[in-house]
Amino acid sequence: MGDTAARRLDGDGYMATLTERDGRLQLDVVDDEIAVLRDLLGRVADLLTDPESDPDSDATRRTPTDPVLSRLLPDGHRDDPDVAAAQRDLTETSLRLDKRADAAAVLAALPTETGTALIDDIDTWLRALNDVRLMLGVELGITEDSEPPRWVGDPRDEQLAVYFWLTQLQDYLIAAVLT
Amino acid sequence: MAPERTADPVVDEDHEALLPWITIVWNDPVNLMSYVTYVFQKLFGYDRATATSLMMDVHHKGKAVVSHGVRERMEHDVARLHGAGLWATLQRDG
Repeated sequence: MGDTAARRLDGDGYMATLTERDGRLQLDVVDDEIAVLRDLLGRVADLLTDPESDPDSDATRRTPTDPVLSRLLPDGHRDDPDVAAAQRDLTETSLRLDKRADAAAVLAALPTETGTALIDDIDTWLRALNDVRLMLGVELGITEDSEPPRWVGDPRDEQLAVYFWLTQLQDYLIAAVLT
Repeated sequence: MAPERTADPVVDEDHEALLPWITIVWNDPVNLMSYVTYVFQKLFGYDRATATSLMMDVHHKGKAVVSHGVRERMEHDVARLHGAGLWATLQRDG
């Protein structure tokens, strides 16, 4: 993400505008926001690329060593490795596919330059944005006490500003769907 | 005293499949309260009040039991919650 994007996102906070037209939600986004979303959704999709995509493989899946992946694909049991492994064997392949499909759907809906994204399925957007927030949350060590940066001084501040921008965007989308 | 075990593995399996399990959602610092409430409504068909109450339990108590049933159903629920990005686990009830 470039400096321009960081300043925009850090400045007045929420920039993307959510509107409803003919009963459909749409999101007006500017170049910088599109660039940020493309970068992050692409990273989530890449991360979720399945190393064990062979459907005939009998290999038992294990908890991912990557901390972001292990948050996106958590263990199904806290203490019982057998239950956790069984759950992983049962669901991880489709979870990876579904999450990548969510990211791909939002990527496909984004305009190439400042313009409007039509939101076909709000749940897809909520899941995809949430996965991005989970990724950033792990990378930034987000806690319940984390706050937006007061100014952007280094790359971490930029990412933190993006995280809180996405939080606000997601909150707007949820508010729209709950009303 | 240990319960007498049946010798018939088929009967045993059937019995196993009927034991009650639960799905638990754990607190995490990223998922928004509004989003968690929405997911509970959407996935389980809970009304707003029920979904909000469960969300508040997750937020304040650190976790909440969001569904119970046979293991297969709980595996399905956990998968759907993971799909939505919530931190969920399943375990035997009790």
